Amino acid sequence: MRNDDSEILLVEDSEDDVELILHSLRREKVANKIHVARDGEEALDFLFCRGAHAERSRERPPGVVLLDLKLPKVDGIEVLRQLRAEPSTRAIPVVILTSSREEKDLVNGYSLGANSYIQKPVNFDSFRETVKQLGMYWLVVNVPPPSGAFPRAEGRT
Amino acid sequence: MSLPLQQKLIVPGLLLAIVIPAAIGYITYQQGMENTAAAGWVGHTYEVRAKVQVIYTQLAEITSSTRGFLINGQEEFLGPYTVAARDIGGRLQELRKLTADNAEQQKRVSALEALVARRLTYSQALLDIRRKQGYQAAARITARGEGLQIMAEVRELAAAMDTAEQILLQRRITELRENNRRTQLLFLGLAGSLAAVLLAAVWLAYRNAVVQQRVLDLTEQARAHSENIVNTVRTPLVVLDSDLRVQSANRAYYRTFLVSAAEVEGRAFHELGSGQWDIPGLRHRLEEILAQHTTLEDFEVERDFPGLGQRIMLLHASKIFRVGNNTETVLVAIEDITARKRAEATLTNLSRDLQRQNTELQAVNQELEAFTYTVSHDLRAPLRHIHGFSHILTEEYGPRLDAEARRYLARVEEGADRMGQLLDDLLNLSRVGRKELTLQVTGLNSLVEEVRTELQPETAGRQIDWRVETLPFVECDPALMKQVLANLLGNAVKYTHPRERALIEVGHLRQNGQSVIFVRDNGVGFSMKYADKLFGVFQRLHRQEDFKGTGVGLATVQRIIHKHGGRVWAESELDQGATFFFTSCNPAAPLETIEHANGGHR
Repeated sequence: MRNDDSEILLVEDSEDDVELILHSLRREKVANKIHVARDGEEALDFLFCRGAHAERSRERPPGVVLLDLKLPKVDGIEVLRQLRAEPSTRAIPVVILTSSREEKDLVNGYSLGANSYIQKPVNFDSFRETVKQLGMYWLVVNVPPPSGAFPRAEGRT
Repeated sequence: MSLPLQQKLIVPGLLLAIVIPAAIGYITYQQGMENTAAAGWVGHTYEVRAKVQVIYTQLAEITSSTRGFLINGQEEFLGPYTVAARDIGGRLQELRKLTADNAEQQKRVSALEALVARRLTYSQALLDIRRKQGYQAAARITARGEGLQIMAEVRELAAAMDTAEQILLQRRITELRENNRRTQLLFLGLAGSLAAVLLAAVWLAYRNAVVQQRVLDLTEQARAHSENIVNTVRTPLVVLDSDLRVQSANRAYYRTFLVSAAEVEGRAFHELGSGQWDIPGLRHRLEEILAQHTTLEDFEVERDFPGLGQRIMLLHASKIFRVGNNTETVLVAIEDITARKRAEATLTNLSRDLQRQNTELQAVNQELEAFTYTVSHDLRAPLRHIHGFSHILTEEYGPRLDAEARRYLARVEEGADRMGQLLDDLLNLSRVGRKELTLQVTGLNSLVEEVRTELQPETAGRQIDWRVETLPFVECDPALMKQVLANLLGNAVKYTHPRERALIEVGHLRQNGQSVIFVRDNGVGFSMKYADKLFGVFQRLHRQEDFKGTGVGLATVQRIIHKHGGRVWAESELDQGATFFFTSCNPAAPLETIEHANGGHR
């Protein structure tokens, strides 16, 4: 795959889901490094290179964020809000990947600038097909913004 | 005759009543004056005639006295002559004055004066001759007859004067008569006018009296009428005098408070009954009405009334001025609002209950929403894991398992699949129930086409004869209407599966003035004795092995149609196909907003 070097950030609290998603991605031969965050706070630390991820370079944002909505500590909608509020992370593609098909989640997600909204199917074949198409689209078809195109405004907090 | 006209007539009538008698008086006076003047003229005529007579007599005396002296020559015979000769000048002067207004008579007076002068000269001459030359000489002169001639001229002249005076008198009398007749006519006219004016006055006075009587009658009628109203009105009314004593009360008062007129009239208002109106604030307010022209409105009295029990009365009062006897009274209207107050209290309670129920309902709704969210998210997740891991197990470890184990795993996956489907359908049903309708005019044919396209995975490889009529445009929520058609057409496809050639019709007919859409198939159908179960949630008429399904589809259809105010029903016979009908509207949202121009093509 073309964007082999860019990382995928998977934000998902369910261990089972993490395993099923990783299994599917591996099966589809996705070679990108996949970082898993188990709650909203960890996801934000990773994205903003702080806390446990303070040594991470801001110059290399993830190629795509797969975001669950129902998360411990900070929920997915809040993660999305902070991500979009910050210039250096504003352009990162975000795919909401959730069990919920509630209208209010859909509306919230899109209005905060989610790039896609995908409901995890119960059927594993469909699930795998969805993950495959996701990978194809965001890691092969889609052209990501150039790194450093949206620098973090220094001196501003 | 209108009253203003009568009033307008009063002033001219009064003027006539003054002017006419005055004119009569004036005319009468004027006539008296004229008659007096006429009498004066008559007297004047006689005076002239008498004066002429006197002059003639004196001349005769002068003649006879002269003659006596001539005959016997004695001077004493000349006495009358001397007197007459001395006076006759004065008489002539008087006659001239009397006839000063008449030029003819003046001429005659002058002639008379000349004759008198001739006679006196002639007599004087005779007397001188008799004295100096004696009788014979005088007799010779007399024999010439000059004296006789003078006297004849005087007689003639006196007669002429007399005649002139007579004629004058006659003319004046005639004029006077004429004048009198005119005056009498005028008098008669005026008297007649006066009589007419008086008659008119009398007639007006009579009319006035009649009108006044009628006004009195009307006033009495109006009084009786208003008394009738006061007595008929169902609101108790009391009239109080300036000391707040009861002057009168109406029947409603007696009836309501179970009292008689005798118990009420003349008594102070605050002493009535059990002293029910003895409220310091009320008395003060009633006194204020008379003193300060205020009104009393909505004064509420709640207490135990004798014979009535606990009641709430509302008092209104205002001042009334009675023109008849110039008194000010207070009209008090009393309204029993007990029933109304109780109804209001009940209503308030009901409304509070409703409010509480509404709040509860909202809480339940929120709970339901939270529950739906949980079902949607939390129940689906483990289901997905079950399905996912059993799938991976089959895939990656299948070869190491025996057939029985693989079959069990397949059953696990199927079960998870079906439960996933069930959850999706249930969530959809709940979403349909909560969703607000977004109505727009929609062509049903285009929806049918969309649904048919989406059904292609199921219809691939099958022989299906579609007969879709030209359907109307209807006002509906297009997304929900599409779900209805998707369910009905999906069912038709599903239940015609055993048929070698399936026939599916979508049509449109009119029933009781309503437009009805129907979907007919030649599938396995169902027995009408289970028709009532058809639209219930989880109700299925077929086994899962025969036809897969969750039993939620038709429940969703019914919910959507009901939301549109329409009706859905089905007709079938076992193994003879089924027909589903629906009207998608209530009369307020007509199904056929736009009827398609082309007819059907069956």
